[in-house]
Amino acid sequence: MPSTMAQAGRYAAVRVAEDGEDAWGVVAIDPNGAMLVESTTPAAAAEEPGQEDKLSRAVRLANKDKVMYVDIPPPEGAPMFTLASRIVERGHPDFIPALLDYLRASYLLELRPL
Amino acid sequence: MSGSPSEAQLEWTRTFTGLAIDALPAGGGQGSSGQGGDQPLADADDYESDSDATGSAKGGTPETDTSGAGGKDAVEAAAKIKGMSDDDIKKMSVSDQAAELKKLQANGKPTGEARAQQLRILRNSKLDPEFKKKETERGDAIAKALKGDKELEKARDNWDKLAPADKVAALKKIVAAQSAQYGMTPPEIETYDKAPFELPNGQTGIENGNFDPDDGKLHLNTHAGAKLSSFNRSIDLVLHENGHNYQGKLIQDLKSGKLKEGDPEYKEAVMFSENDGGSGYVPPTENYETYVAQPKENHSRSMAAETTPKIVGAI
Repeated sequence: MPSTMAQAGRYAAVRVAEDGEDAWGVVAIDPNGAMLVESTTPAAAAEEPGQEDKLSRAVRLANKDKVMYVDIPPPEGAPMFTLASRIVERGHPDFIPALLDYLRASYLLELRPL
Repeated sequence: MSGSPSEAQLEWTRTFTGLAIDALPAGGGQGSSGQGGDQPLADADDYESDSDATGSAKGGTPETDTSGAGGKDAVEAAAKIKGMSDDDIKKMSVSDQAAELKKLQANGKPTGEARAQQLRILRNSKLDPEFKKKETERGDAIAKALKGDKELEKARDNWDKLAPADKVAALKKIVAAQSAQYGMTPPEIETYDKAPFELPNGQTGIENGNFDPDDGKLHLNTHAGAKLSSFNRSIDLVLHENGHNYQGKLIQDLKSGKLKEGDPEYKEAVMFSENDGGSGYVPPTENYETYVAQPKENHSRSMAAETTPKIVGAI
């Protein structure tokens, strides 16, 4: 399923890197884009003992974000090399697709619907 | 860029036309189904750029706009590229692509057919493999340098509570690590507060920041709606913009003779030089597909996309 069609539901969280895939666990996403970690795997364990696992950290930080972004052309008159975005607020139909793009861009984490 | 349109293209079309579309017509470039590609390619060995001032590309800079052809070399280059398919252009080496761009710009900013073919080269160019390999290695080294940084870890966990100045202080560490790999002095970071703007379809857009080649600084928007509100997005933003800074340094080094042929960055530096200035850099208002795919933007975007998760994973 392309991320542009992603909706609320349960997802397998899989880190996809050049050297292979690691299942990190399962998350649920509500219609507002808030995520809940249902389970984690040893592959998501923190590098230092006692620290928060990688999946829980990624979810905690993403849940703090009030908006997501979709890159767009800079407006006319903007300085050269300007990066501009469309702001996508929680609850908007594009929020969860943008959230999935964010997780992929930040953590190489793919959420696959279950 | 032949084939299916990217999500960014679709997003742009949706945003600025209000059309709810899932696809755009593929191709669209002139000569996209043409033949050719077996013509002898120009030799870039004796390259010496005479294009615009180093790294100071300014949209709208007045250029000598002689004609759509721009001289014999430009006419021949335009005809040659027009006879090639997009796939054929993609198969050209970066050096050969840069050599054709140089001919097309020989008499200033191309217009007409010459400009059309210049844009086709720019949007079908890929990063030189040697340069790309270096960027991958630098990304690994940046992540290694920042690994376990407790200050960054603290900043990440409290990002939503930090004042803009404290966010900038954290980002300076990342910019410094990247600049060290590039062998350049880290740029200053200046902030500004610019409100979001309304898009034609009623949605909201915002400027996140830019690198200004005139003052050599990164400029970041501290408005609450901008990407600076997200730690991970901010990393991508500063890496991207400092990448533009490095492109300017490479062009300078090329023109001063410091960067010599045989250096793994030489070929891409030549390409950046041809993608520089009012005649070489394509603004988004002229052609969005080319703007996104042109070498300077492609480099900044792909480098930041590859390096950001490395840094995020290391902190």
